[in-house]
Amino acid sequence: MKFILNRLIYLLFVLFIAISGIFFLINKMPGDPAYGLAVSISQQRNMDINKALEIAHQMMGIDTGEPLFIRYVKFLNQFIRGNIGYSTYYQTTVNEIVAKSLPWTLLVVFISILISFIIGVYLGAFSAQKRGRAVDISISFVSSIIQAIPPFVLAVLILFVGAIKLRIIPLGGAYPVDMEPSLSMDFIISVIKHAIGPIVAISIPQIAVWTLAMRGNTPQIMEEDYIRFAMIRGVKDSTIARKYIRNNAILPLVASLAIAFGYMLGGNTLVESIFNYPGIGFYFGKAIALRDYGLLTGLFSLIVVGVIIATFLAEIIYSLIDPRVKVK
Amino acid sequence: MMKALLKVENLSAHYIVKEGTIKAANNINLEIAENSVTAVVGESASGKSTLIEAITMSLPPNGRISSGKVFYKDNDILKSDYEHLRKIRWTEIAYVPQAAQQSLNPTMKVIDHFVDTVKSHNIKWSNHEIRERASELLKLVRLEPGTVLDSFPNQLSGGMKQRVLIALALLFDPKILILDEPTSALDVITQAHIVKLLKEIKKNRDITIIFITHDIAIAAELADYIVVIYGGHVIEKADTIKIFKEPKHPYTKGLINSIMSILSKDDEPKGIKGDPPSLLNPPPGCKFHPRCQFASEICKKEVPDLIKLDDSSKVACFLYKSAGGDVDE
Repeated sequence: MKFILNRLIYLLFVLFIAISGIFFLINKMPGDPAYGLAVSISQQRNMDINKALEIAHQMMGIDTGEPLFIRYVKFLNQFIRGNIGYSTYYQTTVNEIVAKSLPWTLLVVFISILISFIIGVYLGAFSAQKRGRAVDISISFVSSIIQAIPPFVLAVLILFVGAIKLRIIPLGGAYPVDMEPSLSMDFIISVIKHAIGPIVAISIPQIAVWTLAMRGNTPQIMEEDYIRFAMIRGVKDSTIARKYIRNNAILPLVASLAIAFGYMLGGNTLVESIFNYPGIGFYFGKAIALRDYGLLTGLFSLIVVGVIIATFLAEIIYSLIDPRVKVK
Repeated sequence: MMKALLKVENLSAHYIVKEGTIKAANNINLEIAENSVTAVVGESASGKSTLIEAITMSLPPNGRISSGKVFYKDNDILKSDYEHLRKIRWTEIAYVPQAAQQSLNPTMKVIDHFVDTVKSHNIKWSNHEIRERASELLKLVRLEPGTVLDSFPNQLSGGMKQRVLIALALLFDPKILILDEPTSALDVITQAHIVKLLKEIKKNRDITIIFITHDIAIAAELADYIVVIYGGHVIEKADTIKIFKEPKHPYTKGLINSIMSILSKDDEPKGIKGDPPSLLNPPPGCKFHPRCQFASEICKKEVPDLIKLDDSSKVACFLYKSAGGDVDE
């Protein structure tokens, strides 16, 4: 319990540093974040650009006359209340955009990580057991190549083959436009169909990453005295492979698992953009293309928070599965 | 001598390393009598563990058995297939290797080690029965089953882990219990506990114990027979009492004198001069000849055989070969 409390205090401290970093980074960037909005206002209302800029600043809650420190305090104040910014392009709060996009990203990321981790761990452990044989060499050779393929390249490939040539997956979106979100079987099936493209694109390189990580961890474990002692006790090979080798080799991977989860929240910008999949990454891409500073800051903060929380969870999980961590 | 339960014939084993081959066990002949306690003593890196590992077919991956036979109940263990070997292991021959500190799986509770072992041998005990049996054994080794069974290995001290291993080894009442350095890496108090424990096991059970030690005092306290290993060869085997009263081999004499000199008030150290031989590049002939004050020409050329003397002790030394049957001093 004390361990968790300690980590929690540390977590809040890191969060504070990260959020402050983002604030100063964005505010020290050249250019005015409100400029884009001001241009559209001046065009719509036939207004002088300077006046439009003033209105835009008001809309975004930015007072350029205020010193940086006051703005920083205001930003922190808003952030703590859970208000992470305003999107000038979508003319709505970032919270609202997050609310409608985060579930899609979570769906894709969660399924991808689950699939790739399970397959990767099995493949890696299998490969390590057959160390040096043809099957091991081919698995690690293929994995080394696959792990280097960027997911967005796969995304283009999958879209081309699956949606254009074979016509088995839809071209984009999270569900058909003419469908109302509900819990009906039809809707769920169509959601899955739409998610398959991004999931496959993300999972394939990830499988290779986990395979290689697991394969790298296993031989070290196999030399441990407790493996030898289990063999001397006449414990069955299948039990040794499962409870003695895999369960110990997996430990370091679980930490990376949670961290990977955090990074994937924002790391699939290009994949989501290619599939037109309305997740966080898709809006992140839009924010960059449209110079939507408010949206960019908000999503950026969200991703950072995600990574930090995931790292925290990794430590907690690690302490739960590895009895040695608790004592320290 | 009673019937031999384990018989080792001309056993040789070596390790393959980058620099060449390490001949850690050479042409070993041994007979272990049923219900006896045998101590295998020798310096570090003399091939004690290799001998035991070869007998139990548990050499590390770079170890090879080059020749020999190991008979257990008249079957050659070295010829048995893996599945047969796996079944004999632990039910008939339980071997507790050195490094007790890392021999338990860190992600499994102590009780699960018992469960896995039982399940792997297809013994139809319910989980409750396994728990009962494990508790009984832990009590025997003076551990508190209530706390220890549900502990993870890292929550136990070194002495506790060693005792858990001994408890595990007794799980199926094996015929032979082999222990590699059961007391090293432990403090003196815990050592005394383990020695006492082994004495009780020896007294109360039909069990044959073989243990490796470099501590000749512990060997003297526990063993019926002592086997002295030097440079990968058995150089002497005799009753404990005989070996202490009347050591035959010059090396054994040196070994025994080295403890006696601690006990007596003699200021002059009586250790053995020189260093133990490298097994990678062993000297020709008798491995002990470079350190032996009695060495003659033949010792530098030929390896002496282990011969039986009139008092039924065995020694591998030319001093006795030439004396023939008249060693009876």
